[in-house]
Amino acid sequence: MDMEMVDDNKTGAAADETPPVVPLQSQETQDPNEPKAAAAKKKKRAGHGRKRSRRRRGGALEYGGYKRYVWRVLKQVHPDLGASAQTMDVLDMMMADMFERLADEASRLSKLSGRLTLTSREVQSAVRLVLPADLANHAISEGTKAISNYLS
Amino acid sequence: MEAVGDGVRNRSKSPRFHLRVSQRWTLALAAKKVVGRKLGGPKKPVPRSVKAGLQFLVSRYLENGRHAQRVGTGTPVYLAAVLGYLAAEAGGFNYLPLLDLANNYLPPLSQ
Repeated sequence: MDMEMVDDNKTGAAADETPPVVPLQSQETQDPNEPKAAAAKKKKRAGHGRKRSRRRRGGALEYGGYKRYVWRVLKQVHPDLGASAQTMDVLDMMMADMFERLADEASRLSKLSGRLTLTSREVQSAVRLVLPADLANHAISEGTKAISNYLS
Repeated sequence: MEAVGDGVRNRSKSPRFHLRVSQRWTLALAAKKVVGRKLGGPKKPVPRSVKAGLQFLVSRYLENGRHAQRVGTGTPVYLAAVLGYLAAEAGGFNYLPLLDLANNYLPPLSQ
């Protein structure tokens, strides 16, 4: 519990310095101490995700959210660590912000070079431009590895 | 003389008959093999995120017409990998690199 509190504070500090681009209403809820409540919470989230996916298929692309995927990655990094709803909201907004930054930069690069196709090369250059050096290097290696796995 | 003649005729016929039977059997086996291949042929669709070994969705981030007229096949895979890495950094609660990331942001102009 103390660990989660400290982590939330750190994440809050990071969020303060990176204001989110997409406005969303963040719901403040406490961490569930009982496993039953956690299970119920997961079920609710799953249902919510399903509804959103149905809407996506029918009409135009809505803001689907990255919460379930951020949760998966968190379970990979720290299997025994949880996160509050507010934390998930902040991370979700951060992912949306980063996506928009990278996509806009890649689009700009493709227009400047006169190409009509957005390729992984444009995305790589956008990553180099948008992210700091350390993050950019690791991100590029991750992307290259993913593409090699995908093509094999 | 007649008996000998009949014997010769029977012997000459039997090997040909055996060869024909074996050929038919081989053709049947070949047909079964082909049918088996066809039946086992259709592949199940595999999601691209599983192919690339990622946790983030691959297909829904970039749509044609929004950011560019055309999008390459590797582009959403690369972008999903980058977002996944950033999520891992943030999920690890190691916020120092993220502060460097935050420095690039310009605050909105206050009127």
